[in-house]
Parts: sequence; C-alpha cells; structure tokens
Amino acid sequence: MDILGISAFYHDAAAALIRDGIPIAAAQEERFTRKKNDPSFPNRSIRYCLREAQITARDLDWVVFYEKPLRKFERILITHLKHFPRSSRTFTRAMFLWLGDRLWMKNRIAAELGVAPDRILFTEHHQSHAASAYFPSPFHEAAILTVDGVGEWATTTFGKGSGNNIEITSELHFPHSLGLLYSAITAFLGFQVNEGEQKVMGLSAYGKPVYLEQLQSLVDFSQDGSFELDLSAFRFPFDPEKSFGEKLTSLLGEARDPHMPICYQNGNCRHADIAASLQEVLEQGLLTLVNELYKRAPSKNLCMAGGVALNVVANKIILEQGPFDRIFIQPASGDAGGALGAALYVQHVFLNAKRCYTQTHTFLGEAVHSEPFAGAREISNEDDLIDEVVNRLIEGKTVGWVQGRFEWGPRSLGHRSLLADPRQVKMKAHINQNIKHREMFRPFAPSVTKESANKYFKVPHGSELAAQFMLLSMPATNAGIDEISAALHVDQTGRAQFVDNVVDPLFHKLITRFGEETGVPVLLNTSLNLHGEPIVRGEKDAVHLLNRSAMDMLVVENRIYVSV
Amino acid sequence: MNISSFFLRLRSQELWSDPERKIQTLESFSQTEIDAGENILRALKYANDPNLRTHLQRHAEDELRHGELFKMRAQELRELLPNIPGISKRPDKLYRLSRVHEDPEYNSHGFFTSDNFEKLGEIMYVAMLNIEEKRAEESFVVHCNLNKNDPDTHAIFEKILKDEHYHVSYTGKFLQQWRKEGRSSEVSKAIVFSKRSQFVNTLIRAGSRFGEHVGHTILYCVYFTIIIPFALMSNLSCPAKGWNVPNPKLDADHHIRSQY
Repeated sequence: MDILGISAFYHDAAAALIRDGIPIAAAQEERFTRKKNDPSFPNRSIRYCLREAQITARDLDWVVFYEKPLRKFERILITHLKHFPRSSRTFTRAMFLWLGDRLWMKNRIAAELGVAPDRILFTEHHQSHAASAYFPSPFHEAAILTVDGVGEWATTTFGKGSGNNIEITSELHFPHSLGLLYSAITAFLGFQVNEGEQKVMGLSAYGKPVYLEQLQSLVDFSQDGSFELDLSAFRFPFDPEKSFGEKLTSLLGEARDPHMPICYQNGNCRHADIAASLQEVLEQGLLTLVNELYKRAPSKNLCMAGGVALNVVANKIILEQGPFDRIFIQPASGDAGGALGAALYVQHVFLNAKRCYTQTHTFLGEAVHSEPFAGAREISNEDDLIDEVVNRLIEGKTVGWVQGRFEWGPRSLGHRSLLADPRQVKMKAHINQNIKHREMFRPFAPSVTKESANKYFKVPHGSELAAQFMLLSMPATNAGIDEISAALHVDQTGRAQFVDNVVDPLFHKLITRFGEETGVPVLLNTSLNLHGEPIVRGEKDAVHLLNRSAMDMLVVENRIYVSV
Repeated sequence: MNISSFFLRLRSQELWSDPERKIQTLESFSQTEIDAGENILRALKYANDPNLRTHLQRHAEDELRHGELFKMRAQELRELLPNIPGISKRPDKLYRLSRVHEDPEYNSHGFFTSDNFEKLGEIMYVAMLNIEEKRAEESFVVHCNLNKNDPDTHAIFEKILKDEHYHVSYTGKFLQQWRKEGRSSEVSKAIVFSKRSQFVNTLIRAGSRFGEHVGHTILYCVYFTIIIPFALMSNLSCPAKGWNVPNPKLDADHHIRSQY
C-alpha cells in the first residue's frame, strides 16, 4: 500500500511517501528548488519520492493533502469579513489566490499526478500534526499536543493516541495562537516571520524577562489551559504584512527596523530582554497546556508537533517541569511534517492498519548522486578518511560532511552538516561571521556519542527520544562548560544530538575517533548551508558552498574537496 | 530603440527606482536565467551535432552564471533591506517572468521544454533560442541603461549583455549553416513558428496581466458592495472562546474524502 502525503502553500511544502506504514522517502521542496521555505506545490519532492519508491504516480493507492482547503478558506473569508474595511487590501489578494487556485485542490492534485479524484483524501491540519507525532513514536498510547500558528481554525489541540487510532479532543481557535504571538514579536524584533522565530529563541538567552508583565498583559490564560490574546495589539488577523499594532509599540517601545543593530550586549539588551520575556510567556503557556492535557489524557507519554514544538528551550521546560515522563517530538514538526502525518493518518486511522514503524532517524531524503567535480580526492579506506577529517578538525579547520540521504526536517544530524572542533572558542565567531554570515549571537549545536552524553550534559530523564533529533536544549555539566564551549550557548546550554552507533555508524565513528584523539567525543554540528539558503541537497550544492565560503574542507562520501 | 523597447523602458523605470521591487525583479531574473540554463542542459543531451552541444553547454553555463549574478546582487541589496518579502510571497507584478502562467509547452524564458526538443528537433529549438536571445538582449539593454546610477547592477547587465550577444551570434550562425546545407525551408518555418509563438506568448502574458487587473478591480468592487451586509452580520456574532470540541465525524469515510 503506497500512500503519498503532500503539504503545500503556506510555507515548507513537502512530500512524504509511505509503503505499508513505513516511510520510504520524505523531503521538503526547498531542497530541490533552492528557495528557502518554498511553499509551492512540491512537484520535485513528489518526483523524488516516486523515484525512491520506484513507482509512478498512477501506482499510488492514495494521495492525501495535509489540511482541509475549504475550511481554511472559510476561516480566511470570515476573518476578512470581521475586519471590514481594514481587510480591503488583503481581501482581493486572498480571493485571487483562493478562487484562482487553492480551492480546486482535488482537481489540481489529480491533474498534476494523473491520479483518480476518488483516490485523493484530505486530513485536518492538526490531525496531520498529531499523526506525525504519535505514529512514529514508540508509544502504544500517549497524550498529544499540537501547537502552531494556525491550521484551518485550530491553533492548539489536545488529543490522545491509543493503538492505531488518534483523536483530537479539544481545540483552541484562531486568532488566539501562541505561534502567531511568537511570530508577531519576531516581526516586532525585525526578523522575518517563519524564519526568525529560531533566532528569537536564541536571542532570549542573552536577556532577562524585564518585559514579562507587559507581554503577560497581552495573553489571558485560563485555569483550563486555554488562553486569549489581546487582539488590540495585533494586526495579523487582517494584515499579513504587519502583524503587530501601535499598542505593542506603546508597551515595548519602538519596533526594531531590520537593518538596525540588535541590542543584546554591552549594557543595552533591550531586544534580548523582549525575546527573553516572550520565551517566558511561551513556556508558561505551554506548561499550563501540558498540565491541563495531563488531566484530560493522563499518560506517562507526550507526543508533540506543530511549529512551536521546534522551540527546544520550551521543550526542556515541558519535560522537566511538566507531568509527563517521556516526550516524542516529530523532527519535522512544522508544516512539512504534515505531509508525513497525513499519510500515516490514512494508513492507520482510515485504513485501520496496525502500526509497524518507530522513527529512529530522519534520513529519508535523497542520497548523494556520485558526480565528482574537479579537484576531488578519493580515499577508499574509511578509517583513513576518518583520520584525515579528525586531523583537520583538530587543526581548527571547518569541514562540510555530506553522507547518504539528507535529513527530513530542519536539523542537520550528520548527513548534511558543517563540523568543527567544539573546544576551540574562536569557532563560534568564525563560522557565524565567515561561513554562515549570520548574526553573532546565533549558537551552534553539539553532536555527542550517546554513551558519553551524560558526561557533558545534565540529561533530563525521558529526553533520549527528543535528543536524538536535536529537539531539546539541556544544560551542560562542568566538563561540558570546560571542554565544548564553542558548541554551547551563552547560558551554557546546548541543543545536543545524541548519536547512536546503530542509527548512524559512520558519524558515530567520526565522533568517537575525534574523542580518542582529543579526549572529547563531541563535535560542533551546524547545518550545511549559507545564510538565507536551504540546507544543501547533494554534492553540487556542497561544492558550490565550498567555493563561496570560508569553509576549509568538504567531504562527500569518500571524496575530499579542499578550499583553494 | 524599437517600440517594444520603448514601452519596456516606460514600464521599467518605476520598477528600478523602487528598492523593494528592484530586489524582487533581480530575484525573478535569477530564477528565469537558472530555469533557462537547466532547460538547455537537459536539451543538449538530444543534440546530435557535437559542435552544437559544445555551444549549448556554454550557453547553459552562461545562463546559470547569470542566475547567480542576479541572485548575489539581490542578496547584497537585501542585506540593506532584509524585511522585504521574497518573490514567492509577493511576486512583483510586472516581472513575474517565472510564474505568469504555467504552460507546459513553454518555460519562463519562452523556450520549449526539453521534451519538445526531442519531438520537434534541433532547428526549431535553435530558432527559438535565437529569437528569445534577441528579445532578451534588447530588454537587457533597456535594463542596463536604467541602472546607470547603480554601478554594481549596471556592471552585471554589461557582463550579461556580452554573453547574450554570443548567444544570438552562435544560434544565428547555426541557422545560416543549415540554410546553406539546403534546409532553408525548415529554418524559415522554424523562425516563423518561433516568432509567432513569442507573439502568442506575449499576448497571453498581457492578457494574464490585464485579467489580473480586471479581477482585482471586480473583487474590490465586490468588497465594498456585496460584502458589506455579510461583514455587518459577522460582527454581530461572537466567536466561541476557550476550548472547542471538534464535531463528531458521523461518516469518517465521507469526512476524509471531503475538502471541508
């Protein structure tokens, strides 16, 4: 049984193909088109999935879209009506988009893929998220929390999973959304929405929550976990280009112009303080939600998805202070993951098939096509290759590491990574400034062998599942602070990846070998991409990056390229 | 300057003086050039003549390089104005070269897709390239002149114009050579067909833009007339606050097939 899941049109378009309940291939469209967060119909991802499965579109049993277009249109139309006449500018644009294209999704999918319309299904947006979190988890039963900007109407849902069924039990509706609150403040701080939220999370570590009271006044939390936003401070219901209003300015001061410096050090930490205050509000909100969810769906296990589940700092708080013992978070927690979730929902809920899959890795993308470029030097012996890379890392070089199939989701977990020595403090500034050309406050992540994790991090109980996918921030131990400072954030925490020998033996071998030489089996791991670009797809993109940046060396499978 | 260049200049003046639209146009040009390069790379596999393959290879590399130049310039300008939405979020109205319409026969550069190269042959393909490169050269002359006050962007257009000149030249030489080989009628037919296709393509694009303006106007009128009573009614209703319980799905099969 081959099922193709598709997500598209808001951001992070993607396709995922499962066969008898097991993911064969999944990829975001941006990896192929090289347009960051590409929302367009994922033709190339779909073609890749079909190639990987060695089938054509006509062989598909089912195709499922990750949300209900008509219900989403209903929300958009009603929202425009409610905000008459302020919504005049966006009304025409929205109607053009929907009446011209997005309302006719079934026909479009049928035409693009040559599939019969009665084979095309539609899950609900948060059902897709819930399914993407529960079905790949190792839990036989779990409480499910999904939190994002907005789907059709829902912004936050409670659900429960049991066996091969999931059920959404309660929803909070637009415009009351923690995701949109976070995005509005992201825009206020001068960052781009849907990209800048991770930056705001990183920035928060530099600040103190001095604006907590002001931000808390914008969100009214109830005892039952629900909340309401003070909509007089926000414009996002009717103005997608400016999400906040004058009230926010009066509470927090002037919004930051994107080209103005970010205030996070040297006595002026205003922007970092706002970020820290926002982070605190989000954590409070999520903690209230998980406590309420536990009352309604008591379980030791929590599954999470939705864009907000990528907030690794909040995830740590949920695990440490919340009532659940174990947590599983879908690595592709944003809308891209909805493609996988929709397919799994059809497999298990619609078709009532038994579960047979637990997600232990994210390597569902396209493999490297061997297409060596001029200047490549092959090393046929794996140990020799590893030794060469380790020696370069110890010398202070930065190494691009491209192996096997690329990762599903936003994190690089050893298949499309930029690696460096985490002991060398200068690496942080060097990589931010000279390679990735991004803000200096942005932290990097450490990849540590699973067996050594406890030496360098205070590992919260129940975090192993999240830590394998870099979805949890955790405080470093004294050994970590002393020895891997370049891979830690300013508050001595790290978004650690625990590397398992069974899941990725080559990457594990590399880190282990580095540990044998240096005594520190940890590598600084950041995504292999330039600022504003998607993570590299394969050899061609990686070589291109080498030629355009200050990266020193690139390893693609067993080929080495050196920067001239 | 011919008439089309004159109108192009009129339309483009405002565009290049607006920083936001300038960035979006450069990004649109980048995509167009990259699409063209990739198309030519795919097409050259079908070319039997090794000499033609060599020229097509260089042509493809040029287009890809042009795409990079436009992209990098857009990135430099974007660093000064980073909050401008990308073209996928807010396409520039006049220069949606890559997405005015999705016609399977033509890509954004006006080329046949590589599938058709195999079907229609190299003369038709090269004729199309020749016509399109002439058009591109003319339009880039206009854009180059309009960017004289921006030396970096101006320099990019100057570099590209040299390549465009070569593209026109080599494709023209192949067409001449085929004429001399006794394939004159094929070449003439191909050129007529290409010019007609370009004309039709231009009409379609113009029609699409006109239709968009008309559509926006109609929707605007609808908004301020028909929508008003519904807007008033919607403001009378109070949305449910707090937790909502999803409606039970009485017919799960029907529900999952439904788009609502």
